[in-house]
Amino acid sequence: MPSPRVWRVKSGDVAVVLGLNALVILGMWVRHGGLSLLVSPAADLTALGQLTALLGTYAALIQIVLMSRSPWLDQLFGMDRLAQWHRVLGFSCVSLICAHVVLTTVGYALGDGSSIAAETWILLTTFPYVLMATVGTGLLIMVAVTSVRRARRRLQYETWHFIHLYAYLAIALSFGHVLAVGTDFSNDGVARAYWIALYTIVAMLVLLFRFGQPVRLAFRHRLRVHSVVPEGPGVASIYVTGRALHRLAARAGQYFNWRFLAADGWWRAHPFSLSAVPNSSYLRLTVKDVGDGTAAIQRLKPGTRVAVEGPYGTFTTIRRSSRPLLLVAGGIGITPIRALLEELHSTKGSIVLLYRARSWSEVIFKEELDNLIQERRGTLHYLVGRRGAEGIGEDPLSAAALRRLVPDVHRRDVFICGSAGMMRGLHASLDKLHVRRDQIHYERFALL
Amino acid sequence: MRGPVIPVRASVAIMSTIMSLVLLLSFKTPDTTRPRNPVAVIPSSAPQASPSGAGDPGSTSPSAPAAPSASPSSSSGYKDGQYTGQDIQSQYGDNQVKVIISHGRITDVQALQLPFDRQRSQEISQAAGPMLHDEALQAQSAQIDTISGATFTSDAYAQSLQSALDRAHA
Repeated sequence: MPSPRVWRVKSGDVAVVLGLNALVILGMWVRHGGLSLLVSPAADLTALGQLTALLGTYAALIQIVLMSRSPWLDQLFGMDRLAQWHRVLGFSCVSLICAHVVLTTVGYALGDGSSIAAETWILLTTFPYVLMATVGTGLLIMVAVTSVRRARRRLQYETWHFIHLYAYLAIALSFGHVLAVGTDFSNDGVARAYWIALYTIVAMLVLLFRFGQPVRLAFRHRLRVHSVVPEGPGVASIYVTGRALHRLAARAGQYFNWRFLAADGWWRAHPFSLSAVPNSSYLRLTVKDVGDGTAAIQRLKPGTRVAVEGPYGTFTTIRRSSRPLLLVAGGIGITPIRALLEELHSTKGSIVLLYRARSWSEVIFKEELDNLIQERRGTLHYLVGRRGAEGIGEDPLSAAALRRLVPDVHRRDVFICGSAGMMRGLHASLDKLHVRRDQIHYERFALL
Repeated sequence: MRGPVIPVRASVAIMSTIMSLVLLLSFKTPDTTRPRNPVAVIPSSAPQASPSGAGDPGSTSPSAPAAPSASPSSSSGYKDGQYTGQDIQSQYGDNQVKVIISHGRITDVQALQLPFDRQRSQEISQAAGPMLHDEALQAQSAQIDTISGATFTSDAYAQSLQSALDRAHA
């Protein structure tokens, strides 16, 4: 069994690096007169404009790192948490940049005794690269606005993602004015070098993991679709073959971002879990038609080239302790659970699998699951039917229902994959049953 | 297999982005930080390139005896007299200084022009002028620290001073 590469980075290290850089940046502001400038309203505003610029840019760089698909970050925090942080930090970042624009313009206008409009004109037309940076700010605002929940829901994923990529352009456009007119950089060679180094490191991470890694994997493994097998209404498994698959070092429970290089859809990558333990002859993923191009994937022709990023995710049996297991799957969330089950050999205690689905037509892998559970002498409960239906009750995953189905649940490691709503409810139930947080492992498809 | 087709909307967006970028990049601000007459001026932000050797602490110590006949590579190698620096245009206006050398040492720097055209510039010049003056006397060269909040003025002041000192060497 190939094990995924383990990165020797600790979350503490990441916090220290982030903290140190924040200190350096604050120190830079103080050294270049941030505090001493606080003497008049005009200078106050200018100094604060300077500080918000530094912090906003720092936040923007962190934003890129969070989404750099760095495997060590994934291993430490998981892509879902990184995406949450990205969301929160994103709005703070754009707010800081906007504050910088307003504070600096007003500060300069007050200082010059000119109107805001006149000062804006002076800034745009006579300060080097400020016009470019202003366009960059506009792009960042566009990225933020399209990410507000209400707008995001109205947009297709591809449109939203496409717009999001303009953030890179925005950051590149702002770079010139930082070095040319930034008080902290225009005369301080060390600060300048430090700032350029920060950008370079971030750019390297992006190049390495967002571009380099998929290209490297494409050449090394030459993945192709082998076959597409229907599993149920609107659900199909895709078998992918290639060279030296063991070197992908993927494990059951992990996922890849898959890009199928067909005419219809090569431009988008989808995160899908492996639905079987990867072996040396094929990888298997199982896709449910939920729109956004997932139907096209089910029509893929054998031989279609496949590019992947990954493997990602820590939803693997590495997390397992010696306790017995409870696996809970909701709907299409069965895919990584199915792979985990296959990988688990019941030498360390019993396995219970709960499979929640709204209808029997939604249930996939039934035969495979029945066989796997039987081989492992485990127990499988299908919880099928809409809420309130006979035999399902109001909540088939309530604390009471769980206690009835799995009386020793508090002793078990729990692996969950399902919709966000199901996972929230289940977390609450498990809390009531005194299952500790470190016993609970879950997977969410954060990048979708 | 058909060749890959880029979605039309995306290609339109990419094309217009590229065209806008070309337009944007072709916009140039008037370059105001260069001296008006093109004479090579050593920027103050490059200490290692300084011909006055200000990086050497020994030569900048105020207590060091200054011999007029010392090597021209040392800061004490100035010829006595008054030298007017170039008029350097910064973001906010003209900057020009006159340096007075006696016994091979910088004894005074007079600001002939500092930006006074706008209220903010005046505040900055009034605050920064004396500090720059003191720094120059202390450093005995144009290697002076930037005054916080007066980046452009400091830079231009140093450049004008450097050009004056270059003349004092010659």
